[in-house]
Amino acid sequence: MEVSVRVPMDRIAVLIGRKGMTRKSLEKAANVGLEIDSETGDVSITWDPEKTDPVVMMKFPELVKAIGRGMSPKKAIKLMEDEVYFQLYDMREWVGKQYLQQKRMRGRLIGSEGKIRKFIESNSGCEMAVYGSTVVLIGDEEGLPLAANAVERILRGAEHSTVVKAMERERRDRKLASRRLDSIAERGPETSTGFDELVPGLADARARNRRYKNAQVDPEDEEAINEMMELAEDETIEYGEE
Amino acid sequence: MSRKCIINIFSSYNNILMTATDQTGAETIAKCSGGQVTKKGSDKGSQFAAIRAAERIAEAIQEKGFSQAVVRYRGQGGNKSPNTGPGAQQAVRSLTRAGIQVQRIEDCTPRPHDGTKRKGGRRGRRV
Repeated sequence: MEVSVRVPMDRIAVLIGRKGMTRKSLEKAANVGLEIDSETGDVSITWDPEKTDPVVMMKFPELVKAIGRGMSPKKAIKLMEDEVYFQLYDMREWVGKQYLQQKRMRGRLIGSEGKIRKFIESNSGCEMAVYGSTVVLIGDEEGLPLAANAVERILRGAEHSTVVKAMERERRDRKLASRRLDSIAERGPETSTGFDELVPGLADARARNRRYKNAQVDPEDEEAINEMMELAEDETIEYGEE
Repeated sequence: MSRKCIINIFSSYNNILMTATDQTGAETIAKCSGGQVTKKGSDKGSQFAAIRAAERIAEAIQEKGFSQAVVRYRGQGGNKSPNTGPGAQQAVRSLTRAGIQVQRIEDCTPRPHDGTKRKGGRRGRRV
């Protein structure tokens, strides 16, 4: 079976790598054959349908496309994992084909010194690459919608500050939701040790303990502590004598 | 002898439709959609719905003696986004888990050769 993808000329070198290292490792990782025409930029991918996993067959062209659209192979290889998805945006749909407009959008997506891109990446756990007129996002089921939403908003012309605020709020909401009792209770009963029938109330006590543990902040995690110590909007500390 | 069929998967962000046909593509063997396997409307496009729908399809075609399949998946396409929804991968994964041998897999998203104008108007989509 064969599929072909087009890669821009200046990304072919990245796809092949020094002495073909990247290409070889990609071939090995996905069990495929890669044929790269460095004159035209056509990459044809061949594989044996009997041996290869069909999901890999589905994703590998996307991986090549991601590398072609400016993502480094090291980051793009994440896509081979299960439950990691790929999304491609073309900013021409929003700002048209004018060069200066595209340049402006690239700048907005990346931010000064890469601030916005870094922010999106760290907040959603996605990988993001801006190249030419395209934006590539690679991330998991939870992070990708977050990042995709932010990118779409920026493309649509939203201000940086609103996007950043909305993303932070979303993230905090999710964190709180995952800490709430009902989401913990949903996880179902723990494996019974066999004493549950002998000791009345043992299963309940264990569930209570688990709930208590999950509601606590991990003392090792500095970020979580800082977040807990932060004051809410309507809280103040006043220092004074009683 | 094992028979071969085509499994067409249309996966958008809001739903997933799966149709199994014979090799000519003219006769439908089985079909299932995200809405048939979930209770809530907003879950139709979820991965969970995709897995359930794929399991149903797999069961139905195996009952009729098909064990090999060609998978053709597509996203919204046309003048809309060419990205496939989140369900497609999971659907294929669970088809193989159910014991269906996937022989070919291809992306059949309709791509415009510069087709019609996108919806949204001059000022874009306003939220």
